[in-house]
Amino acid sequence: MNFYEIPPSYDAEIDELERLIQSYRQGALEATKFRAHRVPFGVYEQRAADTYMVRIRCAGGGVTPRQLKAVALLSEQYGADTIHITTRQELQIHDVILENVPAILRELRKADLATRGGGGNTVRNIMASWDAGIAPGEPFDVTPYAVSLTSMLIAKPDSWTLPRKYKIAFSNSDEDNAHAVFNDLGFIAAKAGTEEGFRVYVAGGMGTKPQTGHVLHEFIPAAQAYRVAEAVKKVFDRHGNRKNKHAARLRFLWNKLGEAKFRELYEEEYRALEGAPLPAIGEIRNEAASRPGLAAGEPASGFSLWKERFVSSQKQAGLFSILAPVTLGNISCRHAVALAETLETFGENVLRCTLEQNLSIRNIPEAYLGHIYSVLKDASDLSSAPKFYGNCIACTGAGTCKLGICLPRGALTAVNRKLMSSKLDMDAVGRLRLNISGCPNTCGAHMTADLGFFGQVERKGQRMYPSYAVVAGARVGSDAPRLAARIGDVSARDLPDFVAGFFRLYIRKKDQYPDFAAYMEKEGTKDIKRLCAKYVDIPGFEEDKNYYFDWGAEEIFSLVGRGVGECSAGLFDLIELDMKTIKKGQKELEKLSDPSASADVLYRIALAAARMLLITRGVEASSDREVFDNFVHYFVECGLVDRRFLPLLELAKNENRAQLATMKEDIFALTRTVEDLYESMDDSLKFPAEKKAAETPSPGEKSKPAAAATGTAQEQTFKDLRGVACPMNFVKTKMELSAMQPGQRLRIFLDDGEPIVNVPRSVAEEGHRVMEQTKTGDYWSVLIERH
Amino acid sequence: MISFTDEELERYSRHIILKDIGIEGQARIREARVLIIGAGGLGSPAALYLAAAGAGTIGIADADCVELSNLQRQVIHFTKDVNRPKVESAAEKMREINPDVTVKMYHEFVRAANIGPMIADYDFIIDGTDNFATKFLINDACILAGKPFSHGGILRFNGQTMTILPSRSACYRCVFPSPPPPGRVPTCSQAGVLGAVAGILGTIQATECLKFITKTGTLLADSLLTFDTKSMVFRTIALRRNGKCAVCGDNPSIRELVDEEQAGCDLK
Repeated sequence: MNFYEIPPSYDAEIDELERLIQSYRQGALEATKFRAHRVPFGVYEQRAADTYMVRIRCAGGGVTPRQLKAVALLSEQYGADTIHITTRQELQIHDVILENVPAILRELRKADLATRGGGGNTVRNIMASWDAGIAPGEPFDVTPYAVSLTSMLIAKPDSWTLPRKYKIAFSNSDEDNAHAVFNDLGFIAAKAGTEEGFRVYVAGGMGTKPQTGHVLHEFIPAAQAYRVAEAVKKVFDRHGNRKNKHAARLRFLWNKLGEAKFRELYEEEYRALEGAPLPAIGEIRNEAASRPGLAAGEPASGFSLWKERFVSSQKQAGLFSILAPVTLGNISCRHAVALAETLETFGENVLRCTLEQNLSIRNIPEAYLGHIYSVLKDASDLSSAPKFYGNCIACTGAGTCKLGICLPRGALTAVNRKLMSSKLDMDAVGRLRLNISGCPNTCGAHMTADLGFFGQVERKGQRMYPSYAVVAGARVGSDAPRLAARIGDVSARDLPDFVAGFFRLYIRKKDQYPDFAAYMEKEGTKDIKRLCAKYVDIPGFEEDKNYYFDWGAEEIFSLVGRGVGECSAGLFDLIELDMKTIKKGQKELEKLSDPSASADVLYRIALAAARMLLITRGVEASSDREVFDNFVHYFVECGLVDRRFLPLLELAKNENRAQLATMKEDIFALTRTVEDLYESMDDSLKFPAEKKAAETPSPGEKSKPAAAATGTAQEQTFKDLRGVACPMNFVKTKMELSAMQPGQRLRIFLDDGEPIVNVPRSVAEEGHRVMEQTKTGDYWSVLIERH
Repeated sequence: MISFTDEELERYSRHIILKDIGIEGQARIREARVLIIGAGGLGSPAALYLAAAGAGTIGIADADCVELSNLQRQVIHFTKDVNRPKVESAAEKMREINPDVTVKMYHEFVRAANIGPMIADYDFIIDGTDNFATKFLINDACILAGKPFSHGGILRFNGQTMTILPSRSACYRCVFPSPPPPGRVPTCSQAGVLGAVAGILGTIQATECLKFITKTGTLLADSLLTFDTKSMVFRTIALRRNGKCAVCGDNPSIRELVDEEQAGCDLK
């Protein structure tokens, strides 16, 4: 059996990718263009240069033992000695060199596995409840719908060129253990009388600005799932925002259009698909293989505790499912092969990847549980520990991710070490979810956690240190889904003590409450606040340097060198930090009467105001003086901030506190100006004032009438430089022009803002002729004749 | 067609966007072969900037090892390099700045016997030596081989430099017919030198070299630039080829190279 059908065109697509790899290696294909082909194919570059990983589609988390073995053997041959389970129920092969990618893809193809849609703006892996098909009380098995939808969508070319990724999940009950309401499109199994169907949610999602989905259909017959998914895809494809990657997910479209307009567009697409062929829905049988062929042996020691923790009975009488916890989602190839070989005897439908990055085994007759236990015990220590540990999630963080701020895996390891060495009874916390992300993006699923953390930067003096925001109380389940709420902060260093302290409290109190949510409502939030207060002060650098190192890091914590420019998350953190400083200072001033003390505070406020937005210009000043100099350069001289602040800034730069003490009103006016600027900043870190400048072309570069360019027979070269920043867009333009003959023409596309202001002017300065520049949508088309 | 990788485009973007350099100029720099004689006060900045600029092949010649007293001005060497051959230390830094650059090391004294084959491989030579004997040797060798080069010298707070295009512009010997008698001119050990002056001059030499390679601007040919950093007065003196020059004149007497005895810079 397979969990999806790979379309016949796939082999040719692998051939094409191979050709592109060669062309990239020979230098004929630019890295960015190559990336645009590679990433949608599920081939990502890791943080280490020229090292890649391959993400393998597993619809509904389903994978057969034969497939698991194939993946593990391929990783052993070409990649890392562990394979990885993702929070989207996929498998990943890491540490691969580019030259081996085609061979890996072809081998995976032989095992009926595909990688296309593993990344990029595509239909991503379609998830399903890990216990779909075996859960007692579920209305029906949703897995066949995830499978058939996968097969249908991955055969459609327009599934690979969406405005942004498109995530779909199927849950088998209102408990929503596949997190359908947190996906772009979510289906939750329901019944109307005897008819099987779904409640459908749309426009949910994690990442920046997470939100829960909205109900699109209270009930649709199950057979229509494909039509819904295709119609939503069409709305997304036609109306989604392709320019700003950070506001491109479906939920931004919903918010922009408003519910009524979104529904109108959707209904239109849905109607248009009336009568379109619907996929056949097969059945996936959950049954014991007829001849297991294994001798049932004596269970090893620890069996009964393990059984209590990890084994549950299925709705199929006499069959059991087993949770196999996998540490941080990494299972060694050797253990994966051993597990696969054991499971082969029990049939093909025996394995699911779960979104907690574990494996779930199913359809095992009771007599063979001991056998499975001995294999699992060998594979992971966590099989001998409370279930809690296996359910924790940590994203990869700054270890390999370019957006990462903290190192959540190191933090989680430290937390678990602390908990294991404590005397806490972690079996008592049951299915509580502790999730950690390295930055505010929710790859570590902190927003759906019972107790979650996300990495952030804090400052003590001029020094930065790693810290986590504490969030808690998410509710998963379709009756009242809720994202976790932010409650406080704790330094990375104190995180293990904080978590242990919290569980100590919770375990003591839990029996007074029906569930965790009730505890959170009544006492939990207050308990967490009190704990945060306990850890609010951290020692200075000289006193204890440990606070300035992240867990598992060799070097002092810093954002520099981690690509601050790319890290919009860390960037907002730093801005917020300065805003906090300003607010705090202003409060302090209300209480102060001593003029010299208020002078200090005023200086601090002016410094924070000047520093606050420097990061948006990629500037990390190393001294106070530099802060003021850069502020003048980037904000005053560019006209974003009024020149009347110049004398104030000069005084501040020279730390003339006596004078500053008399300028409170001016300093407050400056902070208001900066805060207003921040308010007006758009997602590309630009301010409206800058745009205005961009929209007024200078006299020398007025648009020529379009007629001048039309109808010319001259050969035209074209280069899309959207998304390429200054001055690289100009460099690339020169590169193109240098290869051309005088009189030949080059058409380029440029982003609005700085690029359109600078590039045509620079090109003209070099003697080339700018024939025309016209605005098309949100970008510019510029025609240049080579000098 | 010229092709650059994205990484190269980014690394050299600030060159490429200069109108006078551009893609073509950067391609010339990439093709260029430059020899720096002396990995000392002048050679250090010259080597650093040429490597950073992406000069395709850089030769570096020096027989000495790094000494503690060098570090005050020879900025390519670090404290950890003391006692290490200067060429090794310099080559390492250049490769670290820019792995695209091919560095060739000549760990030997430059003499009449070896200078000919050494310079034959290069398009431009930078004289970063510290003694008159070698300076005249380099001049004569470059004139005989027709190799353009940059002369440079520093003392106390002063520096001087000129660029020589053989048979087209005045050479070092046109201006200074022969080395001064030993003892007449103080060496650095007796007179000292402000470290930063070496930086100024070496950087000017690297600039001249890059201008020559990219055919940009006007070289310091037929002119001698001298400056005094105490007053920060820079002067350019116009020169003319000397018909009686012993090496590049109408009836040259120097037709082959000889080593001259001269006290070197024994600044420890």
